[in-house]
Amino acid sequence: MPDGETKKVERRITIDPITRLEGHGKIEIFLDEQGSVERAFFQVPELRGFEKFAQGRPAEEMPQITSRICGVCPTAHHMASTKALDALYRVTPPPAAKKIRELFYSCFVTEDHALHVYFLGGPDFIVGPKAPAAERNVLGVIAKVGIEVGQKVIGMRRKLREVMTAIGGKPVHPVLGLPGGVAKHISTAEQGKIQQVAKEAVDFAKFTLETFEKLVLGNSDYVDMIRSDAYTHRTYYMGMVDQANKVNFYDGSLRVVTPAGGEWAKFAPAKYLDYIAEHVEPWSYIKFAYLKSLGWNGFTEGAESGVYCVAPLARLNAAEGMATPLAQEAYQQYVSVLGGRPVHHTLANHWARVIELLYAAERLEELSRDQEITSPEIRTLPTETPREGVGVVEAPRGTLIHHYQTDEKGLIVKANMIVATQNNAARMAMSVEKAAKGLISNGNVSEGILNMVEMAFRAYDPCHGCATHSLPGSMPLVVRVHDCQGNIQSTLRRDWDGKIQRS
Amino acid sequence: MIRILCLGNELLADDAFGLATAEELRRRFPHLDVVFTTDSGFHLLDNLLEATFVVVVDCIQTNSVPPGTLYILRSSDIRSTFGPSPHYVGLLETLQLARELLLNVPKDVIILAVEAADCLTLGGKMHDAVKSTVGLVVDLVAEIAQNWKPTEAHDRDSGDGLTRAIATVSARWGSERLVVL
Repeated sequence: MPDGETKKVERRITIDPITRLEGHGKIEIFLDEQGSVERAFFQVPELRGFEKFAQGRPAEEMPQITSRICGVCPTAHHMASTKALDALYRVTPPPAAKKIRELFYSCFVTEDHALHVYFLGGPDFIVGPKAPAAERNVLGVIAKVGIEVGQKVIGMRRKLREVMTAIGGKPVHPVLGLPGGVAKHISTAEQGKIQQVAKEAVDFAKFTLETFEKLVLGNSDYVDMIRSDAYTHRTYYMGMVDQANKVNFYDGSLRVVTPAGGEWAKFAPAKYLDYIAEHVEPWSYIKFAYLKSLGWNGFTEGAESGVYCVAPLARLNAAEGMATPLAQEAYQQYVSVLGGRPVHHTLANHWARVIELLYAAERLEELSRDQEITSPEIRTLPTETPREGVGVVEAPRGTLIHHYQTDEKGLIVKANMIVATQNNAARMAMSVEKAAKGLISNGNVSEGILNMVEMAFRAYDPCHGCATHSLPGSMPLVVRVHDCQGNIQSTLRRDWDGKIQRS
Repeated sequence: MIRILCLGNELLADDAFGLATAEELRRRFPHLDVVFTTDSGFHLLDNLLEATFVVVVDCIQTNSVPPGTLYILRSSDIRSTFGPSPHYVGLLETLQLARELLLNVPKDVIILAVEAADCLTLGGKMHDAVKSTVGLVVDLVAEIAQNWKPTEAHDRDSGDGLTRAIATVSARWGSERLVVL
């Protein structure tokens, strides 16, 4: 806790979600004398030692190694790393190779978004925010949508993974990307199979959108919550766009829009250091990314603050629309219902994700019908001496940047990686604080409030250096109320077995 | 059919525990179905299918016991699953979900989770305390595999097998190294 805070703060509420990688990812809430929230801090454990770990390694190994860092987004790391190698060797992949990569990547985003919509976000918005905690889990989702739909999700996932295995070797740790191209071409037979799965994926995504609209938009409690001030921030937004300023996950420019929605910057990913800087707060070792020329002005929002965010909500704000027809239609409805572009409501991330699911599936289908994907021209051999390269993709959870500098033999001298969460960290901290401020007064902490703060946290789906090391079965939460001497006055605890205890 | 499912990531210091255990198990008991994966959460579904009984080996961080201490937990002891962890659905939620969807997954899962000191440092080494638990876990797995017998009525170990296995290993390695939940 920062020095000087102890004198001011009357009581401190600590919410400790227990994560896999560290005992705790802490959310700390400080109350003032009246029992209202003065300040909330959010701390997410981050992987340490990437730079040191990368040093001395052959850069060509990085697409394989970095895909092993993250058990949730291995394909994103693999692809960002592969593109960094393209830049490092100053080699341009042939068009077929780019399309194969994007096809593979679209498969990955479709699968990841589908899982997230139903099983990660679903407990909040499909089951409903006011439902008892015991129902807000995957079983509650199945109870709402039915076993058949659940089986459909699993079946869709299996088929998408089979496509990824056919193209990339292994869905979890692909061996697809090489500097200048890909390792394997796609046969006509494989193309036929992919087209079949892609068509199913589009139907599945359409069904998901319909389900979402029925269950969620038909639930006025949830719509009110989406629109509520407690979950709204007017920040800048960043996402990757194609030349027409439409959302693209695999390649393009990075575009940043202001809280009013106008273009603030559009730049080649290689120039990211001109636009993004990192700030470190003393109470957390996580780095908070911010827009460099605006400077770090604290955890504030608005046009004067350098705080920005990434991921579905941000991508839909940073772009001018979706590149495929059904997704574009869905996007227009989304913007209309939520009162215009840009959308500042954090919980709308879930809705934006459904729209992106549809785009990813449509894009997969488009690419599967492209005759060039069966071309044998899948590699341009690098000939240049390596020096420096940046590779950027949109991971499902936001912009992912890999940056390598090597010696002339291709051994890494310096490496940097910015994961999605770093771009979102500042806004996440503000979201937790705002949610807590809106919902905690007179020090009154009920179980429902735990859930509300959690929901803000979950809408961002932060990277915890991947996965969790908690006791299996649940995410235990601890809320500790401290008096100004630092003594624990009371504890609200939700354990791994679901029991809630007060002491 | 019993499967040993070792979870972890060899790049992340103590998270290499799962791999170290898998390698030792394969070396000493080549007939056992041993899987090592860096998959997490929902993607573990693939590794749960078509097995009648699964023992999961993993790392954990509770910060309430010394590193190297082994937690033992069986899925049937958990009465209800809970809200999703941020970023992924847990193993037991995945199991429950799979059962709800009528997929062929084990009716019972035993979880052996070693308390880690560090799972965050890329390229970090396993701490000695955690490394020393590999032998204990291999021993325990062997005892469980030996004591587990599928019955006709259900595919679930009656519970006595696990109790016996724990007692044997406790006596051999010291009961302070195990926490049975």
